[in-house]
Amino acid sequence: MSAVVLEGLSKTFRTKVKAPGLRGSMASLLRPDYREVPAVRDVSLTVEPGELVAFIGPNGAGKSTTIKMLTGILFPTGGTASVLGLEPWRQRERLAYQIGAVFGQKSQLWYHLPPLDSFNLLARVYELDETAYRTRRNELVAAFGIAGYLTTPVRKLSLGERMRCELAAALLHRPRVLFLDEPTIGLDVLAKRTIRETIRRLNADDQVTVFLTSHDVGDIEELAKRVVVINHGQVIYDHRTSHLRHMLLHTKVIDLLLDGPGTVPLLAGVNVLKHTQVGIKLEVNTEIQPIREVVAKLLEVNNVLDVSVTDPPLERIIGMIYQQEAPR
Amino acid sequence: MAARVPAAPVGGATKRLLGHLRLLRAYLGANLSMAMEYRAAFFAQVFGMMLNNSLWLAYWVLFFHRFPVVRGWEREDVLMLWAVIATGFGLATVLFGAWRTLARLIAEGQLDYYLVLPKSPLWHALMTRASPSSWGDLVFGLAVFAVWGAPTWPRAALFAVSALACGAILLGSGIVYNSLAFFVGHAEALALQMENAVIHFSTYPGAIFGGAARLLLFTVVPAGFINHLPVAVLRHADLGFMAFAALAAAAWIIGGQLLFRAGLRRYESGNLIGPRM
Amino acid sequence: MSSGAAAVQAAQGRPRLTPGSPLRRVRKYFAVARMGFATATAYRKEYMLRSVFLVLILYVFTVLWRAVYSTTGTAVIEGFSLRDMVWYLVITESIVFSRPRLASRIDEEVKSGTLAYTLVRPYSYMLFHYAHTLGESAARGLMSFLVGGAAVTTIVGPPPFALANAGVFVVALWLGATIDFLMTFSVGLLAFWVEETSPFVLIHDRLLMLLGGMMLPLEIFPPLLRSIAGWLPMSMVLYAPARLLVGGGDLLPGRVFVIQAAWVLLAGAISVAIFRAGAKRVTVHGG
Repeated sequence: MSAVVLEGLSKTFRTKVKAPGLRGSMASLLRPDYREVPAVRDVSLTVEPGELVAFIGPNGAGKSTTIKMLTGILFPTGGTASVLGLEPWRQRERLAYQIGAVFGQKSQLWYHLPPLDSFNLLARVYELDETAYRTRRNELVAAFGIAGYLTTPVRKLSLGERMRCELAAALLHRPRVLFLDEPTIGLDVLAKRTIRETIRRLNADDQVTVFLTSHDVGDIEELAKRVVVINHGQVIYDHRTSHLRHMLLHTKVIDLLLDGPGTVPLLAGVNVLKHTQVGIKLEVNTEIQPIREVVAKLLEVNNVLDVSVTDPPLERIIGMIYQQEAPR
Repeated sequence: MAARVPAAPVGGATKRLLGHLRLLRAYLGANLSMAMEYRAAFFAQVFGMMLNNSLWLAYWVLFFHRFPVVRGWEREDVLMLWAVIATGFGLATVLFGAWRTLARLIAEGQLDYYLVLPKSPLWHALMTRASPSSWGDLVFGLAVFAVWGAPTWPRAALFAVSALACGAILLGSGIVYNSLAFFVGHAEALALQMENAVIHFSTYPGAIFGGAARLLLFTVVPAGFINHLPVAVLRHADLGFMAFAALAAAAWIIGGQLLFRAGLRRYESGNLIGPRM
Repeated sequence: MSSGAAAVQAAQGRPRLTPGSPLRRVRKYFAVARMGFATATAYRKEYMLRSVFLVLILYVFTVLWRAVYSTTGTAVIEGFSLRDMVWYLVITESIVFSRPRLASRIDEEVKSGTLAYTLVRPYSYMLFHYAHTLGESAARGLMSFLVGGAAVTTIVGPPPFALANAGVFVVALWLGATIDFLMTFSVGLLAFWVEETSPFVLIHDRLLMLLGGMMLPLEIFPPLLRSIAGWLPMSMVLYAPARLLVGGGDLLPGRVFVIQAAWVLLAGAISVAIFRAGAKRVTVHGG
């Protein structure tokens, strides 16, 4: 059975529109005017158990709304979704025992108490057997390396330390699916790396299905094997991360270190990114111009000290995807 | 890999209730820890509460010294009224302390988090602040009854029933008022005023209210069920009124739950009026 | 400035104030009072909402006293008609509602060390707060009175005040407010020595309410308590001005003013002493 299945899932928000002032309030009372905001439009995808999927998109793309529908917080206006065979908003409580969620901006830990107290409380919430809970807790504490501040009040922890505790808390009851909404937001580079490492290990060792939203491209590069890009409420890309790099954009970046100012041969499909006294950086559209030709020509007309041919940064690729409309 | 933790308990209403009760105990523990973390503030709160209650008692003592009987009420009746309210309020707030901040929780979207957890979101929302300082009210109420209530076992039983009814009405009406936050914007201020109204009206002898006020106090602002208790129940052991009050208490609690559930459906549609963060 | 030069100035019809002259200082504090008033009115919307609770309180009191008057069967109790009684409560409740949270403000300033900075300013810390508090209280009291008064008028009718009492009332109100300021200020200064001043603030507030006659005029108290309370500063803050305005009692304005003045001096001396002791603590311990 698939872990998560979305089929034609849609969510349109209906808000009352009111003209300003007293007149507007009166009018709104008698003849209410509604504005429809489609947040999610006809999203379909399937996630198999054990997958690690990154669900990315710019702000307002519909990521959080989708996750809320999958965790039972919102109900959809169209389509269906099923998580572990259950309908999230209809069988919310049953599902709650099997999923975990971490919302980057909201904390589930009690602010003034040590994480340990929150863990103990959650054990009661999920009705965990005492011994099993303790074993599991120690496992997680070791895995996340949080033993050092287990008894420190959460308000005294750094954001990175807190996020690790949040993740541990979400896993106490051994959920089969973990929903992470912007887990690395606001963290510094080192903390991000630690969190990503932990999530990756979790997914690999425990086969927990991870569904994470982000607008940090680094999360994709380091974590996800599969990327789903959503914009304006629609899925515009759904492939393996590697595919993202190689297949979608036929672009390569050539970086040359030269002995003196160089010349850029006049070729179609070649875009100069940087031209300095010591080097040239070019972007090549390999659909128009095979990379082999460009490199050959460059070596011919320049005294090249060093050359590197790389994929363009993921950021650029994602940015270009955002600008696309939904395919098919 | 270690053994899987038990799957979701399905079925069995008693089992469900037990689960919730165990959860209540856990929340009480967590809230107590938090209070101990901020000990000075905790004691200051308890002290303030007791002082405030004592002020009102002093007022009524002076009042009834000058006017020994007003519409059939005497000094002992008002003292018992305060004892009942302090105990009832204390009980409700010790267990479900967040009932007064429910509107804010709703407006700030805090319910999201409780919806992801098992168990009733209303319980989570209510218990997240089981206020330990309300033990001060509880103890105060019991002390007043012990000293001035001429306690006998029958009277203690009547007192217990009254306090429970009072607590249930305060809690139920609180849930109803706060649940308005699901339906109207800026409901926090409104809910606060309504709660204050119920409590304030409750602390005055019920017999002084007549006419339209009386109607109000048995409907929208259910203080009437509370401020008649000392005379009707403690003095006259009027079973009819006891049943009436108990019914009202149940109605408000159930009504609160229904309204909350309806509001939750609206919340889950995402179409709440007002800001939702 | 030499007196000769000043005379020349005066002759030219342009009164010029020398820096540091008392008149200039007084004008400065009037400006502070105006600032306090403006601050309070800026928050009038929130304040009006809180005043809803005042209406509630007054309504219930009205109902209670109606029941009392009907039970005793008399039209006048201790010199108060029902209307007198209710309007008395409007005044005392308005005064209490008008009090800003001075003690906690002082506490904060002591704890945060802001106090240390103000010691350097060229005006007295105490006078600054006095002026500001008066301004604020005036605004808040006015708003409360308007709201409470409007509500009460619909139930028992318009105020029974004689215009003749107005002047006496204002003086007593001002003196009372001064006493209240000095007491509250002193409580706030306890922050120099105590971690949590809130218990003391609470006790002080509750004593003020009870002994000051906020909920019951002193005439209703048992005789012993009545005579004691009559001498205490609390009743000078609430009961005295309200009673003088409502009129009809045997409270002599002259007597009231004398007692109030005495308390102003006494409370003033105590406040200054506490302040000096506290300020010394700041300079010795570095704040």
